[in-house]
Amino acid sequence: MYRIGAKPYPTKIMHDKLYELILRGERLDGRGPYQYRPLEIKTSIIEKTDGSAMVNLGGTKIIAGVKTALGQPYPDTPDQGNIVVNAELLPLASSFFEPGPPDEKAIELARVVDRCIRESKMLELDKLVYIPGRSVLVVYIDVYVLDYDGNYFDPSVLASVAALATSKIPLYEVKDGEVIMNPEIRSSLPIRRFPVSVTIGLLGDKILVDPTSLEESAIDTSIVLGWSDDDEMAAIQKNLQGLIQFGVMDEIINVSKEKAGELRTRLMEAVGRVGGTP
Amino acid sequence: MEKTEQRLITEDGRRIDGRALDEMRPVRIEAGVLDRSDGSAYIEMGKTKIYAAVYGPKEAHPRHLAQPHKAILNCRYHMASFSVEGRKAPGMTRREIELSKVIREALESVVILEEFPRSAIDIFIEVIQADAGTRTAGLTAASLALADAGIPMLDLCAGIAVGKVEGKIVLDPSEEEDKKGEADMPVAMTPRLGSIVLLQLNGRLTSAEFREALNLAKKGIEVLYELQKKALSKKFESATPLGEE
Amino acid sequence: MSSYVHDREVVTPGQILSNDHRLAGAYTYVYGGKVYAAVAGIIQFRDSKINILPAKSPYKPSESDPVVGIIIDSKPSNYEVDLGWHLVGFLHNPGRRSRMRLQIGDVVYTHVKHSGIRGVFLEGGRELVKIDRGLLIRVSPVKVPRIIGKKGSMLQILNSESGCKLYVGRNGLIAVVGESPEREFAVASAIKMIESESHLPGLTERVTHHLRKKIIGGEIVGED
Repeated sequence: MYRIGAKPYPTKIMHDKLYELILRGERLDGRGPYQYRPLEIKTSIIEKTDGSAMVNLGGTKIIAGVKTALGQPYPDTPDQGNIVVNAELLPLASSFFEPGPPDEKAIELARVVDRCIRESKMLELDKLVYIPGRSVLVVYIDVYVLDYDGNYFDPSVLASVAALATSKIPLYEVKDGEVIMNPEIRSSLPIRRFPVSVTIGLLGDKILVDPTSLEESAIDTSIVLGWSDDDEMAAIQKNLQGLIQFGVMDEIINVSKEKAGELRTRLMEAVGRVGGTP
Repeated sequence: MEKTEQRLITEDGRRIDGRALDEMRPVRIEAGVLDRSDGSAYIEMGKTKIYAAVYGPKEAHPRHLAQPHKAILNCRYHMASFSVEGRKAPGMTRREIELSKVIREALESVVILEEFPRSAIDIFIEVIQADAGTRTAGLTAASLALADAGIPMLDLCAGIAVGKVEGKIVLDPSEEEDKKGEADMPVAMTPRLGSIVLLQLNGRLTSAEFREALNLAKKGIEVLYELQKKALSKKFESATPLGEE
Repeated sequence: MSSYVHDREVVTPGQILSNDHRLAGAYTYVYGGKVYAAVAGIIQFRDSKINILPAKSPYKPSESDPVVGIIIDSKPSNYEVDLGWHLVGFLHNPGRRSRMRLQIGDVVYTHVKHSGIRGVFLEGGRELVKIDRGLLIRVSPVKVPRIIGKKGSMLQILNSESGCKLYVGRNGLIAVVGESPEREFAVASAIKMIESESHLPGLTERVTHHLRKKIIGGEIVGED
């Protein structure tokens, strides 16, 4: 694979080159338009979490950790556990990221990951209630971008879902109206399905899957599609300014659906759920 | 407070994790682990896991901070929310701000800042799991990341904590020893120059114990230093196969 | 011999190199009359000095260096040019009298006129070239001499085997302009090969072989 520079340069000649290649169905790093970069998913890397995962997608490295604690349910969902997603674009990951509290990009990332997990109904939140209206499990998912070469959405969803799927949470029992934790007995979170997201960049009417940061600097716009199941979407985010031609949506849906299937297979292998429903 | 229920050190001088008093936890040190940065490093000491990355020299921002005769260092020591027992709220705590300062000052004494007037060098230390000794491990990784970036330095620096546990001086205290022990003393040195660049004490030590602890830290630092050098030399030895990346 | 190291030895910062301060060469420092390494790298004895060839090093511009940069801002009197490595150079904007119009995002090749405490100033006269197509790649500035080779020998091979024109900046940015992307990619991969294997012998032969394998009659053969 070609590696063109360590940092992306939004230069005219590189834009022209990208476009020239895309028209021929090629890309700067030698990939085809519908091809993901090499993907690696490692789970259970942070012992102090209930579940964790590190995902390398080409030059993008994401770490996600899951912690759980008892808490109060939201007033509108007294019979459901809570999910809290936080994401940070760490300044060590790229010269584009600044130290400080999460900016709009980090908050967008957290919310897209949240939607993929929440709206897909990945977790059976009704099973995480100990005393309805009073005591439920709060699942914290913290996502950190450690190295950034474009497309932090897909590896963040993969890392979060892998961390959730491999989490071991302590047993909570209700005794005399009190919830008591037993850390000795641990069990998996109740998981229904495995959502994944597929990020697609658009250059005119041409589409490219999993853009690098150099490509991100050159594409017109991009769209993230969260697939909860084989033929069901749970989240969509058009991301970046720019136009998507109406006629391209069909191709976007078809390609992302197929890619979501591939990613889900890799994800399920990584969390040890090969070839079966959870 | 006088006696803990479970003894941390056995009759025959072993610690609860089986280590001898002067034994450090298993260590892994790597250089050049994050591609976007100008230099980077990763360190594992037991369950403590830390990434460090360097950006620069670059233009100092805001400009009035720039020094006409040398570069300035910026250092951010930060812990991931999931790095500790329980969950740390996102954002910088007072502890993280203090540690960022002492680590920066340690590095300022080894980097040849005069090489890059009016510029800034950013150092980011990200603790992804904290299990005692994070400031010294973070400094060890940051120093390696600076060397990986090719920034001229007088020497590498490496650090380790020493502690006093049940009256005994121990190297590289575990989190439990740190919490229940009588004293914790992080030390960092430039081994070849033989100078101290970071020294803190939290707890009580007699002057004799202090001397013993400092010498023990020096022994540990020399081991870490060898690992740093090995990690740096590695990229010159590993030739990539023809035309492959 | 007052040296503690041998040619091609790998050294790390702080390592003592010599007792004789007169031997202090590139990337070393003198302390108490002795010479120490300031960076990690490979020892090179040259011009009766002990020099270090580092794996990576920030670019420090000096007068008459050829550089490749990207126009990142256009101001009434100056263009700002990104030279990579967080460095910005200034290029005089001759305004309407200019023979070429530069815009943000353009890639240019020129030389350093002056580098000092007030910044890096670039030649804007006839030496300025606007590169309007091709591939832009980035290498570590310390590897640029190897990409050029002795008396330009390596550059000559890259050029003659591929037919591509190369603009090599001392700052590590290189523009490769060829008649097809295949040829440009072949050169880009050869440059990456020089960058990662510059410390190993037989480089010239391997680069020639690599380019011939990649380009046969303008077609790409084999894939990395």
